[in-house]
Amino acid sequence: MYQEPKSSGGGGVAYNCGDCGSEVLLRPGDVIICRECGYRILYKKRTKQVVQFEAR
Amino acid sequence: MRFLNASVRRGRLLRIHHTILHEFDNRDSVPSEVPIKKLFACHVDSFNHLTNLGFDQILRCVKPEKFQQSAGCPELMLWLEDLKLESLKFRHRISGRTESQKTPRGCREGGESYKAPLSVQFCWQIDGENVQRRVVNLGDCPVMVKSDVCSLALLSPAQLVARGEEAHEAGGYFIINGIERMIRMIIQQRRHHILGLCRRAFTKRSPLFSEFATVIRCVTEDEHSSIVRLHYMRTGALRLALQHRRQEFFIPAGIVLRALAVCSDAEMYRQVCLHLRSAGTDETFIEDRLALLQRECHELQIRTQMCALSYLGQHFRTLLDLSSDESDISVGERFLEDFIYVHLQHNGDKLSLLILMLSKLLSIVTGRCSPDDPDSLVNQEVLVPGLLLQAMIREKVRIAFQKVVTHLRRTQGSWSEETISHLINESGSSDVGKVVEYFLATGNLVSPTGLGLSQTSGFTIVAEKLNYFRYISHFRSVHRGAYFMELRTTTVRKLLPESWGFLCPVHTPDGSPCGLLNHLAEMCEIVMPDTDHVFQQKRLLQIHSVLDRALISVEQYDCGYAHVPVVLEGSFVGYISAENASHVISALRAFKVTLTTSVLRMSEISYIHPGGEHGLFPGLYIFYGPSRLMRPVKQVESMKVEFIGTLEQAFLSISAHQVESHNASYTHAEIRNTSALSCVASLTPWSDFNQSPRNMYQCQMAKQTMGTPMHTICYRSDTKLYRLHTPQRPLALTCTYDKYSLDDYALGTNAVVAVIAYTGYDMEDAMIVNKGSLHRGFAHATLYKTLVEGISANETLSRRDNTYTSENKQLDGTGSVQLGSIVRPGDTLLNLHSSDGVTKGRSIRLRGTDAAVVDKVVLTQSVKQAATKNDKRAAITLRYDRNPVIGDKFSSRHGQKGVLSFLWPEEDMPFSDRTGLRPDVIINPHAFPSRMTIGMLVESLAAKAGASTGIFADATPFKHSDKEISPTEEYGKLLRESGYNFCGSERLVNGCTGESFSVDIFIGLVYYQRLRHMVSLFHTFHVRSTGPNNPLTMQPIKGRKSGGGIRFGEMERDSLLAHGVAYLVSLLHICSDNRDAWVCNMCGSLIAPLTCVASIRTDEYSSRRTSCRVCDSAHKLERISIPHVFIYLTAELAAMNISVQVKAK
Repeated sequence: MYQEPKSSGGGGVAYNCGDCGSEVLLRPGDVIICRECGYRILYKKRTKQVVQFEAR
Repeated sequence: MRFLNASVRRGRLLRIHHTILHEFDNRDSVPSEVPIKKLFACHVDSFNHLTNLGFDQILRCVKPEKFQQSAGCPELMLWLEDLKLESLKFRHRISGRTESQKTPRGCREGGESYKAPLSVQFCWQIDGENVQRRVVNLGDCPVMVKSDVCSLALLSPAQLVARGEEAHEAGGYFIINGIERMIRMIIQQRRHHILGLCRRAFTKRSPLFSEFATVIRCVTEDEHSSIVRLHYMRTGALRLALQHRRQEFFIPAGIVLRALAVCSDAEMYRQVCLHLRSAGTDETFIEDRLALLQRECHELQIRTQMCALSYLGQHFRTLLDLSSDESDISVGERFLEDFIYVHLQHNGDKLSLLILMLSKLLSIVTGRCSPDDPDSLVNQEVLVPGLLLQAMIREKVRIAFQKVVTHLRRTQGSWSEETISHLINESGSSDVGKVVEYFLATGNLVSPTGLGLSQTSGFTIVAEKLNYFRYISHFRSVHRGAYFMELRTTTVRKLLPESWGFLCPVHTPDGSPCGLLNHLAEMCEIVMPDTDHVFQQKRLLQIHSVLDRALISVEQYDCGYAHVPVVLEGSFVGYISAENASHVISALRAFKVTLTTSVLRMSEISYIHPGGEHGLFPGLYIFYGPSRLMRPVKQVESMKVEFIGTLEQAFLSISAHQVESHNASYTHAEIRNTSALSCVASLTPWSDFNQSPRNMYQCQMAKQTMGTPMHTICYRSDTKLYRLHTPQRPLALTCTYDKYSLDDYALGTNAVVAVIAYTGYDMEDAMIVNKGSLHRGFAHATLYKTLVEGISANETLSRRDNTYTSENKQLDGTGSVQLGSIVRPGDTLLNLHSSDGVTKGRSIRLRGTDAAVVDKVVLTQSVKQAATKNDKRAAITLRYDRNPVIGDKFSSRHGQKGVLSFLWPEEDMPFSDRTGLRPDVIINPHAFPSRMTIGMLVESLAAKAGASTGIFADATPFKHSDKEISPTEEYGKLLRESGYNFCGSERLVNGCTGESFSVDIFIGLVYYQRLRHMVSLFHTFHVRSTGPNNPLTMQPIKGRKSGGGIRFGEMERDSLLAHGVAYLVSLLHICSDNRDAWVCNMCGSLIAPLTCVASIRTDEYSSRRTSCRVCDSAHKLERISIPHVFIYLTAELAAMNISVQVKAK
């Protein structure tokens, strides 16, 4: 069974670096920077939650 | 039989296919690498010139300054070196973490400006000792994307894609605060060409001025331009007019003539006569004028060159920032150097140019030649972005240098290294980069001199990427100038025959910018400055090698023959005889086309022969300077491609069609039949079959179509982007389409279109769309919107609390909305928690009325952490469905726009009795007769044939006109072979009744574009009773943007009255500017009755009281309901001493 990754609390939310693509965990107040390459544009990952679209 | 038929068909198919391929192969007679980049070349190349050579030119024209405090003291020399813009090219990354470099993509997403440091070296030397240098930082200057200093300059398409850019990124724009902005090209007067003017406005200056003048715009090597005018006075005198810092100065021409050279009166007279006698002017007239010139000089006691120089020096000393110990004569010399014909170095050249100007003026005054048309492209050139920036930076660098110079002059005491370098740091550094950035961000030019331009704002625009066509046409657009927008006269807007092949006659917007905002023809190019000096030397040598043999010296000059002056880029070189001229010109033309790298390739050789009907001042004018418009044509004799200019073209005979060689009637021929059209205009299929305004409409609509704006949507954060889900390659296309590989950015759908009046829902340009087609994805589109929110230093992104409400359920731990979730209006997108304890946290919510899907959440932080407060930002991209609904606008490629009026159920659509095919779109036959868009009918036919045989029809205009076979015949035959009717009509069956129509219906395939202007359903309320009002008239304001109403005009009123509405007018009145006003029935005045509040002191009456001030009574006051504007009108009339009397009953 799929479990939502721990988003709240200590782990932070996962982002992808815009340059090297590596995963960056951000906590509130963190500097927005990739820890691998120093790139400063981060993309939020897509949610794994079920999204229901109205197909009508 | 069947086999034969099939093979014949295949043969024909192949043949057509072959002709198309052949056409496509042939399309590029002019060599080029990636064709699309050529359209942007004038922007990128001009900026490259600035960074490569332009900076050197700026410095070369800043003269070294020498200082000496007093005699015997050490001499200090100060000059500038090495003005440069640092390259942003990718450096190899050192392992691990490095400071990331600025990239266009990073700037777009982070909302930053794409710029690089600009610096200059101040150098000084004391008494010939060691040279000292000091680098001064001039701030960060914006860099043009894809220019030589840009990080993307040399990348391959694959590398570009890897860096999040378009594969064929062409550049040409700047990125300012994340927005792509570009400098618009502006038309200005042609440099180094004497223009004869006849303007009424001149006579308004003073009663002395006549309307005649000649004018020349001179441009120095470093793109500093100055205008010299020569006025003809009513007295017969001549005045030279100069402009400096927006001030005008008039000097008697005789003084300047005298100051320029040691020249006796007789000599001068002889030279002027030479020009004019060949033009056939009578001599007494010239003698009188020249005598007047001399008399003016004598009156001022100016008899020698020195006298004249010191006179000029005395009067213009304040204009030149020179030290006070310079003599008047040297100031006068400096004045001549800096203000009179700045493009020429020698005074002798200046003298002969002034004499030539004088002769042209006199021959215009005597009517020997007619004045030139300043609105004609012949006398114009284009201001390109790089050269504009060069002029801007030149001015700022000069000001900085001048500041240091004046400070150095003022300082007392010895020059030590410390004091000088301190001074340079203090006064030499100026933020040139910031000035350029401000200019690009706002389009406003802040300059003390105005750079010789006619406008101060509106230089830059946003390079919108609504779709690719709009984007391209931004870079090909040429504006006439902001000044002409307000001009009442329409002469500047007229399409002149001279602009054939240079400016597109079709591609101009209708409305206020019509004729002022033009677009370059597809093959038209703008001449760029030379890449090095050797090139220029070579060219001059080559021209002189041809010219010198033919030039006639003054001694050889024989008045019996016709002679014309030769002007070489604004410098008079001599005369040639008219018989000799044709040999010289053909020799020069031969040099022009020998090699593609010929030094004369972009030179313009225009010969205005004497005594023609053109009435222009004769001469051989050779231009090789930058900014001119040129276009390729074919020489008939050699069949080589030659570039010709605007002035040159007017005197060549160019065949509009391709011509076989040995055709003596033409010297040149067009390379393509469509060479007059711009890129967007040439994409209209069979535009030669359409009525011309329809092609103009198509150019407009193509630019507001939803399509494929770019391939890098995921790496950008534009505020609004439209994207079509089902773009297709059109079945009928022109050869331009594949030349620029526009398949990558397609913007429409091939639709089966039936032309019937079916239900009444297709009246008045409405169209019925098949609901089934819609469900299959016809014209589906998406709108991307990006919300950008700056996060200040004391704010953090987080959930404020852990309570989940319906508004914030989509937020995650860091307080930003989750990707892929559906958000509704009012839902929280972003939650910001304030950590300073003073301000409350805030949350950003979705506005509007539509639900959206979260497409992307990007967090960025700018590199400069401490400098700005708002260094972090979050960009949330939302995706809105924009599938067709009733009221959406569609258009074919022939200016036939229509509104979707009904989504008709598929089962009720008419269908073909042979194939069962149902149309996607039904349009009304009435759309055709008055609009005469035959091209659309041809497209329908050809695309149908193409669809049934599997070929893409070549719809290039003007291709079939000289052939016997017309496209209708060609594709009609093809249709017949595929078993369809020759005319494209089919027997259709009514979908509701099952009966077949008594007439055959024209049905075929047409490429349909979906336009951006959509009804935003459900949330527009323009009909309203409350809302903002105009404070003067109290009527509702107009304009959707400002929350105004829609005018319910007379025609709307009539329609309601026709329907029998009884109380309409009173309703309209109440919803508009109703006012209950008092009217005095004694005097009938609306404005005299005054309501006054009784003062507190007089306790006789406590409440408000209204009385008529004229009659001083309140007896006959009546309260009526009237429009407020009527009271306003009464008040206005009262101001004009007209009284309005109203009788209320």
